[in-house]
Amino acid sequence: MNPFPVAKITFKELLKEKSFIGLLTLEVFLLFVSKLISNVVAGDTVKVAMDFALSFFFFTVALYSVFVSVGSTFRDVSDRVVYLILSKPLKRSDYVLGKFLGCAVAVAIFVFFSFFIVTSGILVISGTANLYVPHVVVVERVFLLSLLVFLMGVFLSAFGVLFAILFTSQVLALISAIFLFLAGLELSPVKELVVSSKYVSPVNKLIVQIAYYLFPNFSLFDVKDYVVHLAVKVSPLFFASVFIYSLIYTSAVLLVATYLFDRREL
Amino acid sequence: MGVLVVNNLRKTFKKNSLLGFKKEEKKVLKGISFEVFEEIFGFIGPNGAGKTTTIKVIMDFVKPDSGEILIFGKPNSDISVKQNLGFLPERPYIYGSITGKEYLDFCADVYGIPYYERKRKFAELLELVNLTGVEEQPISSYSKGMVQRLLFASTLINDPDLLILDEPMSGLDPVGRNIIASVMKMLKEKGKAVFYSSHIIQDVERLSDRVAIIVDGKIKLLDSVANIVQEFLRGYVITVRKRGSSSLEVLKVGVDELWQLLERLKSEGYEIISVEPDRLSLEEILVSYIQENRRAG
Repeated sequence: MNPFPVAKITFKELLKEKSFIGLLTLEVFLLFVSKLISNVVAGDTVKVAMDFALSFFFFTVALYSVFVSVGSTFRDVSDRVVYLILSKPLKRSDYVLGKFLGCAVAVAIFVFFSFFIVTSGILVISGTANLYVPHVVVVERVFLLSLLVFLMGVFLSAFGVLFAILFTSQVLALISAIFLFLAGLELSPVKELVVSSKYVSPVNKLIVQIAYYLFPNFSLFDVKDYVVHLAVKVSPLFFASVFIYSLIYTSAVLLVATYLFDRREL
Repeated sequence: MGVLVVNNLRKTFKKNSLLGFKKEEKKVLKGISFEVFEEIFGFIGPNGAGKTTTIKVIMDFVKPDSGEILIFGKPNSDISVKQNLGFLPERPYIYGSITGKEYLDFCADVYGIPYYERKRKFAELLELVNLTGVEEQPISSYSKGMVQRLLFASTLINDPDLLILDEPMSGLDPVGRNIIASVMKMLKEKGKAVFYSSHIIQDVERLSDRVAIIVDGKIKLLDSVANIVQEFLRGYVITVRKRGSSSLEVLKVGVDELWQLLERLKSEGYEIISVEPDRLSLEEILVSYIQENRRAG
């Protein structure tokens, strides 16, 4: 296995793309929007602003992950870059894994910059008000959230690569990945609602439960409440289990992507 | 055994009909066989004849229905054969955001070329294709011809024994075509094999040792350029001048009558200015095969 040359060139290509700077700039803009929204919404201004800022951070990373993984992989096939790559002593699995790793590193750099942008923004927002959570705790918790958001981005990138290989339309691949993400976010509440309801038949409950365990659960990565509310505690075991969950699921998605790409006529 | 052996290659593309009930089939390759030795081998044919499909199958991008492909005596699916192979696809493209050097670095990474050798190697390759000094610029700033030359140079980074090029001259200006042609000749002199497809017949005629003409998925003609030229020789065109006269006369003569006519002209006091073969060009031969195929099909 030698996925690193593909990973390296993918990473270099992605970092020079306009979407990298564009989405980071959007994050800065959204921080101002968060502050503005918090002024017009009822409730604790700082908490509302932080909530919005972290939500924007979460969704921007998700969008970046989907765009780079689907866009880069799809372009390689449609623009015939893949011929140049696969004419060299590289297996198709090297290509899939390399593409994924390149996207994962790009996501890591994006999350790294986002962490600084969001943390600075939150500190500025909270600094202007009476702080209910110590600054150091906020920074620590945003950092832990960033780690989970990075895992989510990596997880989504694997799906992005899979969909770019699976579909012959880039738009379809992008929409599918975004819908998968949105559906995966709402999985937990839907399951809780269905399982606790007395109006849903046992068969349907079973179907929803099976779907819950098979479908990627993106709500696991969403720990905004942990950052915003001091009283909310998250055990280290939770972080470890989310890491293992992402690792196993990502590996499975990449195996499927490799299987499909091996059989695809280029 | 040849460096590249293609034996009885068949490929059918299946297309789903509108509702997906019935699959339409199109036979693209109908039993293609040829062998490439240490030579320049031109592969010509009209659009849709199966040139690019043949190359895609050779490169293992597409699986054939049946047939065998051996590169350096090993099946083409064996990844190790690509260690010693260079390939340039038709209308090649690479990311515009990276620099030429970054792309060459990628190639060097794949072949495990150590860092201390890269500077010298890159300089040699860039000089070969007349691109010295542009390697630090993003590829998006290159012209189409420059991109093609850069990617052509990159196929030589591993010093391959077999080069497979799909339409390497297309989209290049005469200078670019000349650069590629001279590198191909240089490689042949070094004992390497070059297999390439082209629709620029004049280039194929002047460059190739052997030529295969593919029409409608079948090889119609496979021979050395010298033999083809001989086979399709219609006669000779003789330019003469009567002694003491300033006007030139042009005569056409059949292959078997040349010497007799020359003797007679000499005895009649004519001065022979030139004798040139009157033959079908490779282009005319290709066109005749295409027309013959249309009439048959």
